[in-house]
Amino acid sequence: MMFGAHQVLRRMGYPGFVNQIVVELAGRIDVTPLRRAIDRLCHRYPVLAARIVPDGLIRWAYWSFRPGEVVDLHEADLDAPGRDPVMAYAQQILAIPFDLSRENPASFHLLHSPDGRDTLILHFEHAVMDSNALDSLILELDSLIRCDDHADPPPAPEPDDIRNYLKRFPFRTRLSAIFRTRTDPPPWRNGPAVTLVSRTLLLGPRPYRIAFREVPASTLAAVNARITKACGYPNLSMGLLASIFRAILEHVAEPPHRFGRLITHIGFNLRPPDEGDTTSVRNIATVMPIDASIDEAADRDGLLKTLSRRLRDRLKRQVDLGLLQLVYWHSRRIWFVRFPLKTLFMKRQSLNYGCFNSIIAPGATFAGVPIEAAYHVASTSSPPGLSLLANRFQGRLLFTAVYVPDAVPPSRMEAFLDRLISDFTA
Amino acid sequence: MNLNAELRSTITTRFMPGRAASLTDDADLFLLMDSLDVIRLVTHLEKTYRVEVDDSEMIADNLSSVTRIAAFLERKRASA
Repeated sequence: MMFGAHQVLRRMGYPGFVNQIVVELAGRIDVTPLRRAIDRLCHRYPVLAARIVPDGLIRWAYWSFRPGEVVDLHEADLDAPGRDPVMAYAQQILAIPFDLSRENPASFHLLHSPDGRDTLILHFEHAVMDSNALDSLILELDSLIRCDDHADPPPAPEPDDIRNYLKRFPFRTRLSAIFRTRTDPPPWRNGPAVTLVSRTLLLGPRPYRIAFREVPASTLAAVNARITKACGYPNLSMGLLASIFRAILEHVAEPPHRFGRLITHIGFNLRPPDEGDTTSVRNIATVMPIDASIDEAADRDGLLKTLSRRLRDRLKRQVDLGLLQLVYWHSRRIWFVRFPLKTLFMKRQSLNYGCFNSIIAPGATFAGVPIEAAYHVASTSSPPGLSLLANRFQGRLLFTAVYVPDAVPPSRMEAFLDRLISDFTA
Repeated sequence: MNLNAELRSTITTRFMPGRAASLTDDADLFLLMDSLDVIRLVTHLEKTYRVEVDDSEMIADNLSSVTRIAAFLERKRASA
């Protein structure tokens, strides 16, 4: 399914559905044990070095495994210290298309800064896994680095099988998900989306840029207190979405239609009910649409309550199995899966995917070196030309906005982010 | 299995994979879980225990720990 999404984006001229996790370290790490740990990781998860072979009319594609193969670890020396050279490197590799039939769907990059710090980037195609799988993967890599060279690595989890995955949910739940797929109207039917992205659909390869913002822990604690006062509990995700919608409305690309809607899809970690603590290199997220009218965005705390209520209503009505719904489409013919994916990526939405990650698992150190920051970066698929991720790490909130300057001018992006932070923290 | 143990099991397997050891009955769930997971947890409680949770009841006193959730569910059941 995610390969289908990759193909749809590639045909629109974008490099595909590419993601990264960036782990900024306070010092240097030893490359030899890192390389050895990556090798062992690939033996445990052969999908990291597999190929995706496009198939005929019935299936999208299938995995071709290559036993013994490992993913690359690239090393690079940065010219200057700080985050900017890291972002420059990240955006450069993000813009290079993945050819999944010829190259590994993942690679590691270790960047050496002249001030003695290292940054590790895991760069991967979404067909392999999503951001929910990443934290535990980084944690596992860390444990492989630290474990004794001669010790046997812990046993690899059993290979995932989508049919077994689906069977873990009650039959009625699956049936309900299928039913909702066919009956639930998407929010964009209510009105055109209000967005930062210019209306012209951009085709062909374009350079990416990454803009970064950080909300410190003390400020975030005050924001949580404000949201708790308004909402009853620290509903940070909806508080954030309310400010994102309001900031979009202020820096919209074109005057909004009077029936315009603020529309996005919320990502949920959809780990099966009976699954324990195992690491999963796979896609385990689902998406659920949520929207608000322009009038509702006038009052920040009112919008927060409206979005919270609307999300609860959707969860009540629509079993939380968005992924299953797409899998349902996927299980049919190829032209069936194309339709929802094209709709997802080509229909204008304010943000295609509201992804609010809590990066908890990496912990305080990696390979014995303190972690200064960890965050996710995603290609510009939301809508084509813009992605915005909010990452919570050690009490801070880190925003990464990846955008195509031809779709969202840098001045508009910077003004939007500034407005978002000021609205959120005021 | 008593209600506390049942809730702890549900929360650790569904919403806190990989962090099971950190969950005690009085641990602050609002610090350990995503806000989206809190919303999913409430939906799960409504479905599993057949209770209606009003927006005004989504507060720390009712939801911020396993002990508080269990007490909240008992109160809801008693008043039903």
